[in-house]
Amino acid sequence: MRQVLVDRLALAAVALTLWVALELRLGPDILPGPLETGLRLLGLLADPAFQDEIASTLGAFALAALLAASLGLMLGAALGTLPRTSDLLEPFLVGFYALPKVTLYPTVLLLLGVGLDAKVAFGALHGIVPVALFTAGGIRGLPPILAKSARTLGLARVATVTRVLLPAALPEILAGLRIGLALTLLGTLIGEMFAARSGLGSVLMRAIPRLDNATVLSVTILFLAGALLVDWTLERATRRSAAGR
Amino acid sequence: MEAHLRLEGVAKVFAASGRSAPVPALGPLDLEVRRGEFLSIVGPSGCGKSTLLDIAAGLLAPSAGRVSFEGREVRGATPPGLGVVFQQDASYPWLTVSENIGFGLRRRGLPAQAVADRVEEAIRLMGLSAFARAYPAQLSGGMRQRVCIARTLVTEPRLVLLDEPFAALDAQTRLLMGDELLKLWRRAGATIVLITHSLEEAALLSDRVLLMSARPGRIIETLATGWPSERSSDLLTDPRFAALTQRLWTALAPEARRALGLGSEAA
Ligand SMILES: Nc1ncnc2c1ncn2[C@@H]1O[C@H](COP(=O)(O)OP(=O)(O)O)[C@@H](O)[C@H]1O
Ligand SMILES: [Mg+2]
Repeated sequence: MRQVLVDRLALAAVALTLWVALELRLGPDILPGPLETGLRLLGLLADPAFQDEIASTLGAFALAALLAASLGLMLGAALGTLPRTSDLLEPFLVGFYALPKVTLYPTVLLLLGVGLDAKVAFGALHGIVPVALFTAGGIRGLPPILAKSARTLGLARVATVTRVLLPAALPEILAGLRIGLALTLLGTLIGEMFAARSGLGSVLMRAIPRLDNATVLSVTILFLAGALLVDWTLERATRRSAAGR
Repeated sequence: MEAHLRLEGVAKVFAASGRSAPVPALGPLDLEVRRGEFLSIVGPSGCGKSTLLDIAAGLLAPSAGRVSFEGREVRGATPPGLGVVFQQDASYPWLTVSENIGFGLRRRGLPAQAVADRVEEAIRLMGLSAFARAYPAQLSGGMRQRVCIARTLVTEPRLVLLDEPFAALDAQTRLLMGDELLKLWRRAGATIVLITHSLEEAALLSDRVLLMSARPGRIIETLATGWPSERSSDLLTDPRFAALTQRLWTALAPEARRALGLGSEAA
């Protein structure tokens, strides 16, 4: 545990050194240094208008994550238990997963309009497929004896899925959520960058033409922190769920 | 009296898959289990014993024939009142020992206190008291199998199908678990069908022993042991036990050789 901490501090020190070296090479107008960026970030965090932007992004991400997780789980459970459906659908899902989702954004906008719904939908769109594929794979990999014994204990089909198959596949499901929710965060940001009037993505898009690079970097750091937090939470949950097995 | 469990003309042929030919795994066979008896089914490995159990429990559709439990046809689902203990470990790794054992009971809408009481008693009976809060991964294979046996028995089935339940246990624990099973059987008055490859186990525990042929398994012989219902592993030293085991082996040896692909004259 302590070793990990030392390694992380060393990594942070290397990153900061590189950052300063780049700042010296490129000049502070193009790449503001850690000090300037840190001060800007603190200033922004204290600004109520900026706090609203954060709240808008967080709200959209929470909703998108909820959608991605619940729809992904349901789709994954269906694919994992119905082999014919999954033979039919999985090639399409894998194709969709590989597709740059930006190409779909005009369609999403057309369907939902510019605003909260579009960026939520766009965020969720990024997360559903990995959650579904991991869930389906996790269920298919389970020993058949689990479902068989559940049937002899009087569980109907749906109860077998919710009470036995999903809990049994939990480690794989959490691994899917870890990837899916990171992509959902990314999707939410991209959604905001292209068409939203509020949120960190739109802050970014307004800062870029102004060459306000300190703000651009501040938002990037906030996003990185958010992504790391999501990842860390799910990584811990994965480890805890696998601990007893 | 009507049979508790009846199989009529039951056969199973597993369909061809890929390049492999269809596999005739079982039968056709007829089988009658009497209410309240302790019946063992012995056969060489691969002769279709587990397939027979799956069909009797409504988990697998037979290719031919029909199954009835308490006079009703078994089809597509395990009827209430019929409990199954599988050959493989079927404990749920995300639940503790006591949660595993209470799993089937909780689905029945029993009051929480009644569930807790019954689970506690089953844990004590199976010698798992020190492990009530442990997870299956922390237990030995034999202990996990005891969890599965308890999970089925707490639901108080009227007929229990057990598929080589003691295969993962060492010889002494096997004998003790056999005695426990006999006590449970006498106390609960349930019907027991024990699938085993152990002649000694069958000879010691059962009222009747059915012998199966090599695959596709058929019933080749039925033997009544004549034991009183008050019996235990003390019978091991009884000369009648040795004679019984000898008779079973005489009938089964040719089938066991056939299952291994050895000639009938092989020594
Ligand atoms: N799902 C299946 N598909 C094809 N063959 C099977 C299947 N299940 C079992 N078998 C075959 O049927 C025969 C009987 O199997 P099983 O009932 O497990 O035997 P036992 O329990 O007596 O050892 C074996 O030859 C086995 O390989
Ligand atoms: Mg078997």
